[in-house]
Amino acid sequence: MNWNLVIDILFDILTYGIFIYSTLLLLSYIAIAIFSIGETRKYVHKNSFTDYRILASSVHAPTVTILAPAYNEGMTIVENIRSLLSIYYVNLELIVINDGSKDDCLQKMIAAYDLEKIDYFVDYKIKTKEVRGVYKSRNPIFHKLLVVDKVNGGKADALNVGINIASNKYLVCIDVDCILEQDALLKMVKPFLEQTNEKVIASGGVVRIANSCIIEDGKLVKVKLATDYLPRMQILEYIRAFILGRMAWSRLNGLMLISGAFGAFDKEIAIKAGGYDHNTVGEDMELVVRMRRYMEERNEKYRVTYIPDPLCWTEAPNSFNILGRQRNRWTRGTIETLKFHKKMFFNPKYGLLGMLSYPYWFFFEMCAPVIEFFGFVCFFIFAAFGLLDWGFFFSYLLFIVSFGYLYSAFAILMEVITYNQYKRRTDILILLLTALTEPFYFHPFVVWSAIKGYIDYIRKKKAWGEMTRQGFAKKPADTTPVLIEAAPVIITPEPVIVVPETVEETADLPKESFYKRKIAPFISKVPEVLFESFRYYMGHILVLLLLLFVARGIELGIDYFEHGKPQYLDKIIWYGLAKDVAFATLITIWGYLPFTALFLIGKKTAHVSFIIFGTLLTLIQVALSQYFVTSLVPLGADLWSYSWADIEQTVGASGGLNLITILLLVAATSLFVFTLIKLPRLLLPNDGIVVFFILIVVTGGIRNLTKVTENMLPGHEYSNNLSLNKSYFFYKASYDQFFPSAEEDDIYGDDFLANAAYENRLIDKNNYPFLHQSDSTKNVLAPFFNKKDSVPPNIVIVLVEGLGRAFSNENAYLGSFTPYLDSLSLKSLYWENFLSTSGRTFGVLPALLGSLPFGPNGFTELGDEMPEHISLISLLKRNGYKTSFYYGGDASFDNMSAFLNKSGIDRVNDEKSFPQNGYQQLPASTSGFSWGYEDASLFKYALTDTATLSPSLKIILTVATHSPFLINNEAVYTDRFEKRMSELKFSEAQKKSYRNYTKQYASILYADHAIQQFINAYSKRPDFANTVFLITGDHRMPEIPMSTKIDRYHVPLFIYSPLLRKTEKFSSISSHFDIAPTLSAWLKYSYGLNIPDINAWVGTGVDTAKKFRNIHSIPLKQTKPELIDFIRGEYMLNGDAVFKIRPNMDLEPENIPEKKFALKSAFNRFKKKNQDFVTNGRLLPDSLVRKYGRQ
Amino acid sequence: MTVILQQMFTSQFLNSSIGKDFLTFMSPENLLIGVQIMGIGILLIVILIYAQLLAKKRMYFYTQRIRNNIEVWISHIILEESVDGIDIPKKFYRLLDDPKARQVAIDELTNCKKNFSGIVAENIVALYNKLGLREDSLEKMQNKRKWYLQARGIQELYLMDQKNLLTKIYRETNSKNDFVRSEAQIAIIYMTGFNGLRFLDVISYPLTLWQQIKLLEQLRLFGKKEDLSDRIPRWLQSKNDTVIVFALRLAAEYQQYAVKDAIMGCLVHPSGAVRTRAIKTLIVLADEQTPFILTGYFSKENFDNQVHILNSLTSLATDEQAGFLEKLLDAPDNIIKLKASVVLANNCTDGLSVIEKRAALEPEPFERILRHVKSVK
Repeated sequence: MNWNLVIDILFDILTYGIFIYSTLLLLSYIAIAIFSIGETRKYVHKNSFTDYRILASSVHAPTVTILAPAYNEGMTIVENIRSLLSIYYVNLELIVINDGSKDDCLQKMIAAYDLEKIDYFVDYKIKTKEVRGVYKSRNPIFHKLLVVDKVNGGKADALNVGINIASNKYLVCIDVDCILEQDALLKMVKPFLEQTNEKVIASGGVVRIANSCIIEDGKLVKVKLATDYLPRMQILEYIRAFILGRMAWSRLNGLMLISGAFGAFDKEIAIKAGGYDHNTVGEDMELVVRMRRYMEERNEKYRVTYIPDPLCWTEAPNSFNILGRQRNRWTRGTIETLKFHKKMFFNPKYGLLGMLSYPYWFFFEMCAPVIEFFGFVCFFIFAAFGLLDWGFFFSYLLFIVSFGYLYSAFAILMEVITYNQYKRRTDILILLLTALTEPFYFHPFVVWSAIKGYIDYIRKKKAWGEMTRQGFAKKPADTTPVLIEAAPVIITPEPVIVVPETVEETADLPKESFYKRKIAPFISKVPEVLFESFRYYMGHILVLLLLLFVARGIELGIDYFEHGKPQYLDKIIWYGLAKDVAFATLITIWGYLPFTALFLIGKKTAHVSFIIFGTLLTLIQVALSQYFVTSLVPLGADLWSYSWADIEQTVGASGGLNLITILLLVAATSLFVFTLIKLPRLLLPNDGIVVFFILIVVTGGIRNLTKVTENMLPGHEYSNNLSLNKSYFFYKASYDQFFPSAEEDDIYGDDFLANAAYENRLIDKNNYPFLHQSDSTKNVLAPFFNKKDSVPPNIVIVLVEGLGRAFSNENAYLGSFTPYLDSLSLKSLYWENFLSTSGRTFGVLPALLGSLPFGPNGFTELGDEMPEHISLISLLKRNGYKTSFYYGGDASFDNMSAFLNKSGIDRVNDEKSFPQNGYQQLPASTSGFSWGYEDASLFKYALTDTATLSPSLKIILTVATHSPFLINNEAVYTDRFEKRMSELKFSEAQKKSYRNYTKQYASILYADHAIQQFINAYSKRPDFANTVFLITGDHRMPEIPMSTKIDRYHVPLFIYSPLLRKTEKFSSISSHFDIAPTLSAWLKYSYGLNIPDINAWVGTGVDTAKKFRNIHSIPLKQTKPELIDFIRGEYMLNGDAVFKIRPNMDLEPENIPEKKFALKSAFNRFKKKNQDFVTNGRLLPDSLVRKYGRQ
Repeated sequence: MTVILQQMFTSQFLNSSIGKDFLTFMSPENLLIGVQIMGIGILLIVILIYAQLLAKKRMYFYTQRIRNNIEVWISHIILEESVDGIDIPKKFYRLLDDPKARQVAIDELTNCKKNFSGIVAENIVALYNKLGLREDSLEKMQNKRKWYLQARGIQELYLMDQKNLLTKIYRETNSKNDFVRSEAQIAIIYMTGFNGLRFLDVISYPLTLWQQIKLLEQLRLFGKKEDLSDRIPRWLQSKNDTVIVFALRLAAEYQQYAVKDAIMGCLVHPSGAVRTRAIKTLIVLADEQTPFILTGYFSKENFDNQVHILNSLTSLATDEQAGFLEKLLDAPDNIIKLKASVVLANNCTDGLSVIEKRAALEPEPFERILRHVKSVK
């Protein structure tokens, strides 16, 4: 058997089936709307000159019997009968059938209407339960009233008794609690009087909802829109069903249902057809269908008519519990009725009834909930397995929802045009708004109740669900909204056949096993408890989601305030919300069991715990957002890699805590706590919604929603990051940090030897993963230098904090804010596509000076564990250089001094070693923190070294271009910034948006200026002529929004020296890893310095190709714990995403699985080596270290 | 697994050409266009709803204004002898330039007319004529396309006693449209009383029960009884069964003893409805012969008519019917037994003991019937 084909066919059937079904459904709704317009017009015209008063007084009016079955209606029965007796009609008889009520219903009637029992002959034409007695009033005023007391047998049985006893020609069956308009009967009977050649066998009326209406003495005094949600929703439903649906079917003479609450029948036909069937809970519909069938089978012309005037008012269920049971009953009634009369299904013998009405009911009333539910389940399965086309799904959903709303709005319009019961404009608005919520709240519940109806039907459960009345006697003042939980009254369904209760009680209970007595009841309760706890949990989760949305709002608000409108704002909002939802789903899954455990202890415990948990979670989210808005990068696991002192320093630098922050924090906390206390109760979902959520959560479990949302990126690096859920990002990164997944084995290692020069020369893979022959590193610099003498040159390496290509030099996409460096580039060897190897400063020294791998959290973080290594410092020192490091701040930050000492540097100069006078510190932030000495002072200090006889290596790391970007003479540089923008010919709008980052740009201009002064000063020194300046950025400043994943590493490299023979610009890609190999190769071959042939450099030397290309494999460490970026050839791997690098260093997503696989394998190889050297604790053999390592 | 499923589904489905058409047709873009169209639809409907609400409100106040004005003139009319002496200001005429206003005026006047008689009623009609509203009604009556306007026109004209239009209205008594016909018939009765009934000679469409009741109620307004004995026999011969039924109703309503024989002829009419009505009429016009006639026809009648006959016998039967009634105790239907028992017990000597004896012999249902009979006696 070809399973593929079977699945294929099934899938097609499903897709087309759903399409055809929904098309037919929509068409039928459109047809209904059109028909109802015609019929309503006709009726309204007809009514406009009908005077019903004639009938009220005429003795010629036909005789009518009202049948009102009552079961446990003691609370309202007396008043309801009074209301019915006040109806205008001459030839009227009112039969109230007490269906074995268990309350004092009968006694109340006897007392109120002075009833006496009479011996009344009951002819059991239709078989019913026994009549216990017939009562008439002694008072002639109530001569129309007849009360029948009978054994309980259900509503259908009660009505049948009424039919047997009724002496009049027409029967009007009503629910006893209905409020009829005074002229209801006149209007209802009229169709029977108008019959000519077609016999009118039944006539139906409209049922309207009386909740919140003002009722006095059993009469409707003022129509009001229900104040509670459920009745209001039902008002809308009823308007739709009666004004549109029934009206249209009445025009076609295809009505299959006359509401049991108010309908008139021809008694003769009703008896001939056999009366009400008590085997169904949908007796009202069943009778109409049977009467119609009776007429059809006898080929008699007949009609079922319908009166659209609002004549009958009833109280609608106001709790999900009762409403659910009502809908459950309706569903069972429909199934049963259609099953009894299945013979008519597409049977042409039954004309329109068989060909249209029955199929309509079958497909669109009976099957609709099943199809809808099934559709939902399919949707969840598809979503779970990633088969869902979300774009299609949402547009289809939107389509259906808008059609539904259009239909509802149209129904409201028809109501306004015709009967206009709700005259206040706000009422109509409320109805329209209520309609908006239907598909998301009310409808799922209705569908679920219908499904429960199916389940009950299958279990053959037959029960006459009751409805507990709240009574109409309420005065308006009492109609305060009732909280949902307060309303339900627990009622057990009444069985149709009364089984003597003693049977169960007296029966000898056999000894049951422990399992049956204790465990089984407990197990049977489990699903219920889980469901209830989930319902309660959902209320909380919804609030949490709301708070996450609030946090999202706060984040976007702060961001907007700080940085202006970000790119792709709309996408950021949508994707952001989607990510928040995904995060909430994740919490839902993980939080459910703990919550249920707490729920078992007590509702309150669970509630309070959730308040604490939710508040903390939201606060952390806000804090992470705040961090992001300040630093422009989301906080990941790097938090765990910094020492407490580092954190204190960083937080202190960015302003720290102040009074306003604390006040805002308190306010936010109170808001969150308050919301979490109050709102969950109001958001308790109904059964349908709970089932919906369960499906969502199950789906979320199968299909990791966060995975789905991870791919939703607006397209610009900063926007992408802004759309992230910062909490998820942080927790995920932290999880990965503490529970790292094992590195995948490199199965295709041999295929990836593109860097053959490197890979082929590995010496001892197992003990020294990076150790290789390095004589291949070409002396690429030699062609660009004059070699005047054999004295090796001085090397000055200037590492500029945050100097990115994004805002420096020609073609910088933000415009260049380094005019001096721009000019310097023309006099230098300039690499425009150079890369730093880390996203923060921690990585620059080991990579640049030693071409060293990262280790788990950066090489310097290894601290005492740092293996012995060879670096420019150790090599040059062994060749007679004086080595020194200059830094304006504290060199112990990021373990820099430890690293430098391990390299054997001669002198580390930092803020502690600066002389007292003549040097200026950076301004302190509000918390009193300062990073240290400003760049100009730093350079000045570096120039104090006057020992120019021996060659020297100076490494200078600047700090001014670091958050919080405070510089001295800020005004000067702010002016320069303004001027620079004008030079760059920015538009006003551009200027405005750049001004959000004035401090950052001003600090860049400052640093540029400081470098200029430094080079100028240096040029006056005698050793200048023999000095090589190497200037680069440690990474690109993240506090100006970035545009791509590579942007963070994109820095310029200048090699400037009077020794240069020619200048050049290179477009090929190289990185910090390549500097040490290149410099050492140059010094070795051009100046004969003693440099080993073997080493453990990660880099292979800078590429001096002018055109854009990349011959390197470059791992990039974004933050201390995060190693997810990798570049190889013209591709970049970021986590799971692959990008192609364009010549302008833009990235475009690339989805070639082979490429990704290749990149991942190569990256994994690096990662493995990166891990291995730490495990081994060695990079180099001792012999090498002794010869070339630190002295 | 997922990947395989996904590829299988999408590739198989996409490969079929219908699949492609389907996807293009059901593409998110098309669906969203649909959503936009419906969005506009929703907007329009909401606008319509509010426009309608506003219009209704304005119409209400507008109507109130016209009504207040008209009421002023009506109160004038009540005080004055004739309309001639009343000057209606131009302003009011101008108000009536609006057709809606004219309709409100007509409605108001017709309502008043229903409640007044004599001089005041005449003056209302005069005002109606003076304001030229008659033309409006006439125009409506002549609108053959919109039945509801036509019917409304006729209604207005007869309420305003436009007797000179009698011939025109009379023509409509056999109109195709139920409502036009109905209004025309009422109009004729309204304006000419019993003489108007001559349309019964000609109408070919059925008279619904509703219409019959309306006509009877209309005739009742004339108060006096009229001798219809010369006309009823003719109507009883009508081919239109509903005319016969109506004639029988008239005979009962106006106690036309003279046509009793003709009515008896209807007891063998093929139509059940006619027979039922004939029985009911005979019961109303009963004399000592009636019980014999009814019991004679009893066996041929349907259940409903049998029940009617038995019900009527409670006021007509004597011992002479005892034998007939005793036989009915063997009838298959319990209701017939019950009804017969009631008549026996109430009207015949020792009737009750007959039932008691029967109850002893055949307790079910006669014991219950006996209790019922005793209880209602």
